Amino acid sequence: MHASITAAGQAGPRLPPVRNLRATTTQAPVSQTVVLEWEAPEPGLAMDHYVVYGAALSDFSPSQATLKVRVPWTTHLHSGLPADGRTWHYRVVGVDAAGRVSRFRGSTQVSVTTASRGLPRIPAGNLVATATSAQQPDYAAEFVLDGDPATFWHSQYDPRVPMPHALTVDMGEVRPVTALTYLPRQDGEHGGTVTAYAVALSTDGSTFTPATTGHWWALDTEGTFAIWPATQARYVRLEVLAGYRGHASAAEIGLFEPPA
Amino acid sequence: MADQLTLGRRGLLAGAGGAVGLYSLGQRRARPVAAAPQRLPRDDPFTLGVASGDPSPDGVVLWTRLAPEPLAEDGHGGMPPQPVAVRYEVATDEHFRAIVRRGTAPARAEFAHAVHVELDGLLPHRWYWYRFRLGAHVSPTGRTRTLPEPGAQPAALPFAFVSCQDWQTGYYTAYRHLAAEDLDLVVHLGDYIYEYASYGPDYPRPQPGTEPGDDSIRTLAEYRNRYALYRTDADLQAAHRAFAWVTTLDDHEVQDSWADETNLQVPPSAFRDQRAAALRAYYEHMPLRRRALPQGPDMRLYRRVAYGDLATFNVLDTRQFRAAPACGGGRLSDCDERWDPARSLPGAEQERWLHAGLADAETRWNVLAQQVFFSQWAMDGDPELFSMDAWDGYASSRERVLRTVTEAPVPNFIVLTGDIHLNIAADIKADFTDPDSATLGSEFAGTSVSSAGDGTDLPWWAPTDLQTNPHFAFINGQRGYVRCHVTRGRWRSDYRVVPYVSTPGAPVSTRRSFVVEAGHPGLQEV
Repeated sequence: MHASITAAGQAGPRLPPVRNLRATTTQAPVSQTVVLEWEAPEPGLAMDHYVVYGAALSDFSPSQATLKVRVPWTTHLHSGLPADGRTWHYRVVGVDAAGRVSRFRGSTQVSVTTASRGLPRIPAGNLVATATSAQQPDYAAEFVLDGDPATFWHSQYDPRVPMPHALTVDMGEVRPVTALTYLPRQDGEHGGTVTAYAVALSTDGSTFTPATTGHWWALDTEGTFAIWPATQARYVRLEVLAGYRGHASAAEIGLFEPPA
Repeated sequence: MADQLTLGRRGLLAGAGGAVGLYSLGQRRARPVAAAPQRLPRDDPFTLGVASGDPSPDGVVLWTRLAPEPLAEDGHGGMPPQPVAVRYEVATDEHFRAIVRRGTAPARAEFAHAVHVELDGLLPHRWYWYRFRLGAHVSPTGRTRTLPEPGAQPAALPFAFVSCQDWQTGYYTAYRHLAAEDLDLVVHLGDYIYEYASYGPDYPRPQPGTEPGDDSIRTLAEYRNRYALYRTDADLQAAHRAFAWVTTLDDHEVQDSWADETNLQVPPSAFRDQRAAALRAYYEHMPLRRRALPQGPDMRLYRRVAYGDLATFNVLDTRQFRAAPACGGGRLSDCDERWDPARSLPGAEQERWLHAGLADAETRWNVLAQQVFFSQWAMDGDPELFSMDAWDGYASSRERVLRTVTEAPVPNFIVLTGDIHLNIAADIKADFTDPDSATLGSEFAGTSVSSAGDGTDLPWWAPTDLQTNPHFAFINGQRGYVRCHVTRGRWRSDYRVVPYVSTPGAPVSTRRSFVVEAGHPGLQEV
């Protein structure tokens, strides 16, 4: 999020390295994401921020890093990576409340390899979307399948219909499905961007079985996804458990089947 | 915090026992700073002024922060990483002829060189003057006042309450006038800073400094620099210099509309880290006692302040422990979740503490000093449309408070409110839908110092809301503060307003005044 690196405390004592850095990636539908997590240099130590470095070179220096972001929390999503089976290498440097900085050279480096290809997309032409609530006609559910990021579905706000909301996609036939992509509205506003979700599946449209649940970052406007063990279903329901300012919205929804 | 403060590599600033954090250093116990050379700033380190707060009958907290370069990008105010010992003096006169306390306090990089001195052993209900020294630099002089003793019967409590001071939307003219008032105390109900990035050039006061890459500050350095920016304001400094403050926070000290571990933008696990940074910066910049020092993302801010037998302030924290907003939040007309008895606005533990305190109320006036609107407020002419962010969104939680007020019974119940950038005076009813039901107390909501800009005397929707809410006596949308004069027989609130904040220099006037007679609940016009 933040490009510039503080020079705080360079004259002062050094901070021990961050602990327990790990990098994981999951087969993602299209672009790949690496999840980085770590812990403060000491338990309970008050921190200012961390600087996350990442590169496709195994022996990289800060100047060669293609990822260099400043974050206040102990996690970072390196998203938007191509599905090209590349190995990425990461280091994290901490700055504590006193301005002490941990050494890049003394930090642990972790590596992770992304998937070599994405998942097969289920053609949108056969899909039909409905929603428990939509602000008609400008923000109808069908806009999540039109391939146009500029149009979007928004739960009814005039008058306001309270949470929770759900968007259901009917695939027209029972078939294996394993992932969903979510592109938030792209007009610069966050209203309705989904921050907590559950996915449920059904073969008949009335009995739904939970598939997965999780959080998305409202700040992440590039799009995200949910993935679950491949399951036979006809209906995929995105349940919006929390959305920015108590609404639900989506610019595009994609569904994916497991690799052949 | 029983560590010793190392000065350089040799000397120790050795308080006896080394408890440098728990500052109750009277003159007798103060030790000279060891001979190790300190790296002292060449420029004036007292650019952020001085403050005092959380008074008790025998003490008060003195505050300053060393920042020769207040907006240095790393959030350390231009200070080197080494600790520095700051001298302080407390006197019973403004010329420091009669100094009653003298000592040194540590300023350390881990607290951005903020200094908190917890004084004790002072006399009750007295004025004191204080100042700090570092090298050749002397801070501005601050004035503060201890509280009356618990058994004392003070004739009057003059105080004011304030909230919501967005830098970008206006000047702190209200504080200039507040500093000239005759008060014992100032209560700040939150939104001391706003976390937003720049709104652009079309606002009264552009926000200098490095802009983060999104619409909010999030790191400790960014929060520190936001407080530092606000504290460079001369009018705000004057108000801190003039009186002891009791402060609590609302949402914008952390993130808009946050509730416990949830907010609008980032997952709970990440938000905990952001919240820890925000609460730490709040502690660093407020004259708070050591017991409020955050532990990670947690901070004990709710507390009681008793003014003799005249008044007790139950200072609440309605953000840190609140249940997630009912039905997703916002303004809603058909949300039953707000009545869910399992949901609480103060949170279970604080609610128990509040009820125990109210049930034992021993003072003439019993006050909630808190953030969000307390009384029922049906909006836009719709008798069922309520804000889920306010106590209306936690209706069962409010019912429990009112039950305790009724059953205890709590005499002379008063609620002070910030948050909404509006002056509203309202009666608190046993049944808000029945104007003839018992009046249990009165609520004074105070407008913002600067948030929302110049404002207007009567917002366009106000006539409708006055009609829909017959327990409302007054709505005003200008900027200002509320001055209160509390005696044994009468509570008086004066709504002090300024006509504009988009440029400096506005005059102040009293827009409306209300009194409540002790023993006769309900607002009366003056």
